[in-house]
Amino acid sequence: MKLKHFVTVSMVNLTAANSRPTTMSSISQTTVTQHSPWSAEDDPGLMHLIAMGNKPAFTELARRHMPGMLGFARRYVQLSEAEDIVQEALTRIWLKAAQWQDRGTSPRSWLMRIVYNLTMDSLRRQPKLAEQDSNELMATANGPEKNYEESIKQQQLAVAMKALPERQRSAVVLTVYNAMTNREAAGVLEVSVDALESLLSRGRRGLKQSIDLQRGV
Amino acid sequence: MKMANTTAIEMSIERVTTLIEAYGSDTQSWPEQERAEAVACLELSPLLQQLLNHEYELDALLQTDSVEEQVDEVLLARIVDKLPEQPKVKQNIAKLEWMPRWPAAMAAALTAVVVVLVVMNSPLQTVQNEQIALQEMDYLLWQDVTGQGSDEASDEESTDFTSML
Repeated sequence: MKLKHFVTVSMVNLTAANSRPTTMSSISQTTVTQHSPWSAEDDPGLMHLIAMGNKPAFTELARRHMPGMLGFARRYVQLSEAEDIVQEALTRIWLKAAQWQDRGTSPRSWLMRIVYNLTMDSLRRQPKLAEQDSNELMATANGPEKNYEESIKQQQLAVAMKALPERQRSAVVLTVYNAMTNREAAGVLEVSVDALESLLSRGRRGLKQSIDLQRGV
Repeated sequence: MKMANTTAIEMSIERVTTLIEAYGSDTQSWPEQERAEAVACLELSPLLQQLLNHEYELDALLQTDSVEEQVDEVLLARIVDKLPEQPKVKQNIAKLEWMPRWPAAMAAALTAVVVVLVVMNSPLQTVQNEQIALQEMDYLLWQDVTGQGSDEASDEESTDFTSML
């Protein structure tokens, strides 16, 4: 009965859901680039300038993508570690910008691939610390302003996320929280689009099963 | 004609099912090139709509976990300040990209020529040449001192000639 009601309500909300803005990272991205003198330049253009040693172009690229990079890394490691990862990734871009070629891989995908690899390396080195931090992050998200029911739901989601295999989890994070296109996310994980879709399907199924299990459904 | 359309819709239903299961209920997150066709198919299928609604709850839950990250100006300034110098070697290589690639065989032949030249001009070879020259000088001196040489031989030959006559 409850499910039936939910289906009806969500059908009504379908249009609203489809017209809602994309994720937070893309919103902040737009806000950040609004007043920059480099906003007219696209990412590949910035990469060419960076390859020639242009620091303002580098700063602009970093501004655009830092929130997404930091957001991804923070879902796995603690803040100080995430900041180190972002710094390392951006420094690599600065040093290797000349090696980037516009052959299907966007600078954003390249950046996120570096962040992804560094994050996974960090996780392998400090699995226990990362586990602790996920709990900290969850606690931060569950601030006093959130009601108890929401808090429980978020806890269930956090547990379900942690239970997912690493690549399924990353596929979900990249597409949902980083608002990456399927090609971009596939580029980060170095898989085909079909393989990405498979990871996403299994990931979402795993999340639902885990949440249902916690709810005793 | 009708059968062909039905097959096309059935194929689309299969694909839309995959899209829903992979990307969730927000059609804006579906691949752009397939979106319009998939949404059109969705509108015709109550089954797909039900599937979509089933995914909506998870999407709503996932969205509550969105964390808005701002640009950390302090971190950005620190990163820019600590940027190392870009490698210049790579730039030089980029400048030489117009040059044709040398075949490996050509490079190997060039290396062989260089090796031969080096060996020819090596100190060992010079010493050997000097030793041969000294031996020749000794021989000439010995000829001068002993009086033996080509003149004596020619006398003998002439003697022989005379006797023959």
